[in-house]
Amino acid sequence: MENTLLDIKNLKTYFFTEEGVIPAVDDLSFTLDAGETLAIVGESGCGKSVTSLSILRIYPSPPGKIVGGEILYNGEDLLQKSEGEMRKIRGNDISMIFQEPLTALNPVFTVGRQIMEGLQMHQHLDKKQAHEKAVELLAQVGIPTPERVVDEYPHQLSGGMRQRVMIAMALSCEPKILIADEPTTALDVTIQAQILELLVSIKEETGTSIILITHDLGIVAQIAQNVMVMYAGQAVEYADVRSIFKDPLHPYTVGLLRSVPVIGVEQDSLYSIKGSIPSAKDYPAGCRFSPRCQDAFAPCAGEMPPLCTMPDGRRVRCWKYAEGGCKDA
Amino acid sequence: MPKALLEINDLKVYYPVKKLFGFGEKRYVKAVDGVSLSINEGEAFGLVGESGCGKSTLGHTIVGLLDAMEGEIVFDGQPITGKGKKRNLELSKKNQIIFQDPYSSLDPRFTVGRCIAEPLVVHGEGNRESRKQRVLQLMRDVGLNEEQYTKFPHEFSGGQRQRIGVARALALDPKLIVCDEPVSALDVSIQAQILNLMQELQKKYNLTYVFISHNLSVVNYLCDRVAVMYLGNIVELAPKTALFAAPMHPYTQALLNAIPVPDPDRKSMEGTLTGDVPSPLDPPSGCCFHTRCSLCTEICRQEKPPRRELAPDHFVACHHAQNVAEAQGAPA
Repeated sequence: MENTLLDIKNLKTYFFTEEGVIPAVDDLSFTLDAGETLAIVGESGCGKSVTSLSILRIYPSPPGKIVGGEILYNGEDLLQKSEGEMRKIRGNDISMIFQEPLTALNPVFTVGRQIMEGLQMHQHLDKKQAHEKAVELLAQVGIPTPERVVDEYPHQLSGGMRQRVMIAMALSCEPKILIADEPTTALDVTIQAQILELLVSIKEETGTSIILITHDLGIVAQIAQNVMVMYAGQAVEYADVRSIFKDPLHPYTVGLLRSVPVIGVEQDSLYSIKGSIPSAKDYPAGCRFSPRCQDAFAPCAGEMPPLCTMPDGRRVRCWKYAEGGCKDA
Repeated sequence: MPKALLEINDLKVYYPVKKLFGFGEKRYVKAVDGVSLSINEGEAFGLVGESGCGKSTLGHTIVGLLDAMEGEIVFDGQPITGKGKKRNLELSKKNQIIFQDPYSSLDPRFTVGRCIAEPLVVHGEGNRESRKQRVLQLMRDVGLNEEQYTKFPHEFSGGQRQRIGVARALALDPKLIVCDEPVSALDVSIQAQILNLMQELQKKYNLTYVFISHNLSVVNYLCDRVAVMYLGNIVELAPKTALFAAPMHPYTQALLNAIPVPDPDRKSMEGTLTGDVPSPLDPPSGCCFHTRCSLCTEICRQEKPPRRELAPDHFVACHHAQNVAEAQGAPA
């Protein structure tokens, strides 16, 4: 594809701890086109956050280490870049919105100063210009009285306002890719709706690509174009949003969708996936979902299924669909 | 007419605010500001609202963890709390709580057996052997293994820890359980397991639940009646089906609109609220919601709307509720 911005191939991020090697992200491949919104969904510990940290190379290291794969941004491998070159990319070409704005913002600097930092460093604006731009950005993300807020400290703002500041900061250098790691998990629903609306309108205005990391399937359905479902460090299904919600293939995706209660649908009892998420220290051999899968059959426990491309271009990691032969295998 | 198990009359719970250097007027955070409701035996009653609306404070006051400033709570015909009244331990046995965070609500130094037995020990129930039998039975009830009796909380996953919390709440054979966000710290697949377990237990032991949650979908699944709270007040109280199909309070409507629906063909999150929740330290005059309400008129700023029954069992505190209902095409 011509307009592919980000192409991740066989990424492996492992954590080397005293208790052993933890394959947090294991052989993950995906692409992001210009203007695309990709959602990465999964439960806690599935590796969705480590994936986003790996792209910017800001995972904790040690113990974390990328042991294989490529992260191609505009055709250049980010893993081959020096630390200095990475600094020019972070916050400038690719920026990130974190989950908990109170811990991601520095409590001893004013909001304005934190937004100005990126502008002065990457765009080489002087102090006055950067200050003006910061006020402009705060107005753009819907903060009333931006001239006042720019000189306030994070603790003086509410949760929703702090998240808006985070977004203003991430947008300051007009990034090509915006990674939003659970941007609304810490917020109330009415505030969440405001923030999501803001993200959508920003995308329409600037054409930024968004990688949205979340566990909330509702948000995915409302915002994303493509979805990657992760389980235990791997992609188990990767398709467009309509296919995922209307005709999910992987038993885990099916189970996840059925275990969410929906308003307006009368349910006597909720479907639940049996068992619990395996610990990353000892993933089951074979398919990592097989011990919890209701459709598991002979090959599942023995051998890891490949991520197969279906005739319609969707990808799924399950023996149910790989049996007839899989062209990637 | 079902029997009312719990009656709350004009309950007010305020938190005093520390004065700066001892100067100025004494101020309070009005967490619960004049709540009245009655909960029937055997029903699952949902209490929803955003953070800071007072739902947890109300729940904690019901089980006696907090003292009321004014008003009374009558449980099973007897007042359990009220001004200047000491807690009635006998009655609080019938009135238990499940906490939100299964990581911090279990003592890390106690074994699972000890954790679950704690309420029995506190109330001096049975002897060592009978308590152990009771705990083992409870563990089977909530889907834990008997071999796990001697393990410690850190050896369990979040979902299993919440099962321990449920078993502990059941230990004294209560009539009422206040569930304070019991599934919000859990993953989706585990959340469904716990919700199903709670529903099973309710049928088995004829329990009454006060289910506190910010997640309307979960409340819709588990509860019979729902009260929506905003800034310490109940703004709408109705049977589940009526509340979700034809909400009459503008805040309830906004809340429902704000939920992202897991269906790409159904667009949600439209007509959302602007602005933030005002501080409960300094609540707005008149209707507490008027600062964010699109229907706000002069009367809303001045007069607190009374609670009116606009449809059978459907109570709303809003000056313009009829207009809201009509705009929706629902019978008012």
